[in-house]
Amino acid sequence: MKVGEAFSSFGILIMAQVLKTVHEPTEGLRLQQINVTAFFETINCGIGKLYLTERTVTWINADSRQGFVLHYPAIAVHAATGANEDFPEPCLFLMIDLSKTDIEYTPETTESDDEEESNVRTAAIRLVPEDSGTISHIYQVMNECQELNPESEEEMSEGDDDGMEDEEYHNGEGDDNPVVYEAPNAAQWYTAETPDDEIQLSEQGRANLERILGNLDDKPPAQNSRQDPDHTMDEG
Amino acid sequence: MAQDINPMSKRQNPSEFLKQIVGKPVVVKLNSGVDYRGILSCLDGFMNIALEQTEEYQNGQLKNKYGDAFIRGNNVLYISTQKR
Repeated sequence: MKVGEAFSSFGILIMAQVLKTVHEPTEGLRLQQINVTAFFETINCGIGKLYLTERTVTWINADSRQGFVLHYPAIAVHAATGANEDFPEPCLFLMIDLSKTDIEYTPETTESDDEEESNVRTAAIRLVPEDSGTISHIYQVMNECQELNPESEEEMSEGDDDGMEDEEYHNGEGDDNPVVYEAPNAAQWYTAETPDDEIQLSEQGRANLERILGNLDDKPPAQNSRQDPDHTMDEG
Repeated sequence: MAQDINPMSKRQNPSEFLKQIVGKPVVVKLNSGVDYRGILSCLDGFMNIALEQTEEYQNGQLKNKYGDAFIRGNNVLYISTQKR
């Protein structure tokens, strides 16, 4: 990590976009740690103070009073790391989902675009406390706070929602195994409310309808009395 | 390819599978495409995952190593066992 890198024009530009004026959090404070250097991707944001509250991870540069606030749903991964090639100091690593923050940053796609590339933009933040012995404790507190911030229902249905209302209900099995089911998209089902002229059956649908209505007064048909020429369902 | 203790060698429901793989090496793939490999330490009902001896892979390449890692459940695409 070159000392001069923090002062490159690129670095300053990024910091201007990424860092904002942030006020010290006061509610739900679980941990404070001074002398923590923050790296946003490769940009050194300086030395500041880290605050962990029950809702946020906040870091504020000691001199500029600028920093960032992350809500736990934005923190996809957090990890305690020892020294490695790129970052010789032990630190707390955070992978954040940028779409869930107010941070304006567009990662450069250095990797070749592969077909699987998702639309999830992530960024890496590293928090390097001067006292590396504190990392383990910070990591633990972050775990606890993450558990206090599960996905809300609103966030769960994001991406599945194509503009129609979904019904969601929870399987009441208790806290340790919540399961969420979604009812089928109501707009695709024809109900008693659907006007007749809106109902369009496919050929298979019409055949099914004839078969069903044809059997209304009969006993269940025996195999060899089935006469419907369009019926292909039980072939094969 | 058969293993003596293969969590998938009999039919079971997902939570049984998850209980069986605790303590084993796993691959956790995130929605973002990154995958993390490590020993599954524990997980909870929201699929929050704690790993030990974690390695981060992007496009199949090892990028980073971490001691303990906590992965927020909603970012998980899948968890798979891995041979070590």
